[in-house]
This record gives sequence, C-alpha cells and structure tokens, in this order.
Amino acid sequence: MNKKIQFTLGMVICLLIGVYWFWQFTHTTTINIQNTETNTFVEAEVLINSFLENEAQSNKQFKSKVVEVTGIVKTISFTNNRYTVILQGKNNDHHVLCDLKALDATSIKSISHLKKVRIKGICKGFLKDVILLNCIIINHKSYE
Amino acid sequence: MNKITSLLLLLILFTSFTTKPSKIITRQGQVSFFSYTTVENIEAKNNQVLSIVNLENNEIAISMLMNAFVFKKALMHEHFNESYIESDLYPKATFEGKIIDFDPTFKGDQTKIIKGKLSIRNITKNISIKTNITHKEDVFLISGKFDIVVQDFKINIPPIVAPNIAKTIATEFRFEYQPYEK
Repeated sequence: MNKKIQFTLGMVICLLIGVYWFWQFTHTTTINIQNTETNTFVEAEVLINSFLENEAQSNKQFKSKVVEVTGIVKTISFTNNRYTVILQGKNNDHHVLCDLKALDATSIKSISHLKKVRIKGICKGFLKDVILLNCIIINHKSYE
Repeated sequence: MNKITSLLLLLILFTSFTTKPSKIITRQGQVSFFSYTTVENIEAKNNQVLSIVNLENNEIAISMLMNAFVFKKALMHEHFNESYIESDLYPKATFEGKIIDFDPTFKGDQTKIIKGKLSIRNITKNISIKTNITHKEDVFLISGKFDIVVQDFKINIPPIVAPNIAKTIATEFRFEYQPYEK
C-alpha cells in the first residue's frame, strides 16, 4: 500500500512539474518597452564607435539592456513588413538599426530623413551595425 | 584633337556610370525557423541578418545574432538563448559559401545551389541549399529553404520538453540585396 501511495505521489509531482514547464513555456508575454526603465542613454555615434573599438566590452555594457539612443535619421525602411529606423554613424558603413515594436505609422510620420530622433529599445549586439529591437520613438507626442 | 579628348572623357564618364557593383549587401535579411510537433508549433524570425555577396567570385557570407530571433512568447526566447543555443557563449551563427554557376549579369529568375559551411555554437557543417535568385535592376533577391538537424549542433533538449521540439527544424531565408556602397 505504501509503495502504491509513493508511486502515485511521484506521478502527481512529475505531472505538476510538466504542467508548470508547459505553462511557463507557452504563457509568458513579450516585454513592454514603454514601461521598462532605461539602463543607458547614448548618442548613436558613441554607441557605434564603442562596438567598433571593443565588441566584447560593449556587449557587457549594452547587450540585452534597455538603451535610449539619440541620432540622425539616415533612412526609414519598410522591409519584411516592419519599420526600421536607421541612424547614421560617422561613415556610411556602420549604423544603428532600430526595429520598431509595431506597425506604428503615427510615430513614423513624426520623424524624417536627417532629423534628430530619440529611440528606446533593447540592444541585441553588433554585426556591421548595432541592432536594437522592440524600439519606440521617444520624442513622439504619444510617448511624452 | 579637342573632339578626341571630349570623346575620351565621355567614354570614361559613361563607363564610370555603368560600372556594376562588385558587392551587394543586405542588413535586414530575414531568417525564420519552424519546429512542428504534435504538442505545439514554435516559430521565430530574425529580421536583422547581415549578408554580403561578392559578384566577382560569387562568394556569399551571412552573419546573424542568435538573440535577435523574435518568438511569440518571451519565455521561448529565454529558453532558446539560455538553454539551447547558449547565445552568451555563441552569440552569432554564420554561413560562408559560394553560389554555384551563378551569372550575376542575368536579369530575371534563376535557381542555383549554394554550397558552404554553416556554423552554429562553434560547430561547423557543410551544407547545400537550393535557392531562387531574382535579379531586377540593381536588386537581387535570394530566398530558399533548408532543414537543420538539432543533434548536428549538439543542442541539448531536456527530456521533459523533448516532445515539444522537433528533431529537424525547418528554416527559411529571404535576402534582398542592394549595391554595397561604402
């Protein structure tokens, strides 16, 4: 009888762990960047230069952090059904790619080519450009 | 004499304007992967994939940040990066290869094979991918599909979630290249 209880108890515990894992794996929603506190404020050129000079150190400083970056708009691209604001660096080879959180046409209309903009997003690292995801345009009226 | 000089200047100008780019680039290529099981389907997209093609020798290079894959659920993203891919240790996946028998001057659609080395988690495998290439004006669109076997890259899946993750991951890519101007 004792062995039967122990077996049943074991099975229940395993089932509970399985349900917990499954729930955790499937029911967590994505981060709300608007309500998340900014970790670092930085100029686009400074951010690019930092990664160019020391990528490992910059990853420690910026990667997975909420970064508010100020820079000049080089282009606004609409690729893969998403808006990306590309901030220019000192030369034409390295930029900051800011992938906007949603198809927010209103905030996109508030910025234009060669104008200064402030964007908040999560820094993912560096390829040829610094990559920021989940971005929102901070100096847009609806976020002020 | 003046006429000859003018003609030569015109020829030089014409040549410089019609010179084809030797390299093309995309900074916003898309790579997506799908895991289909009876328990659940998992899908993720990376929209910031970097790729450069050298049109003089048809060599192609691709690089992507593994933590830039976007999932529907934040916890899937966390497990993918922390438990499976270990993106802090292996932040990038890369591909280096060559487009076989590719003629970059041909306008229109071509189907070609890309052969090369795919590196994930510092493990490199030789792969061949069938691709569709569309060349219109200065824009090249390269797209295709291939499968990745999870075990090939020594990705450890805990037994408790093993039924949720497919053993073979279907992968798709779509790169729209522009001339590379530095």
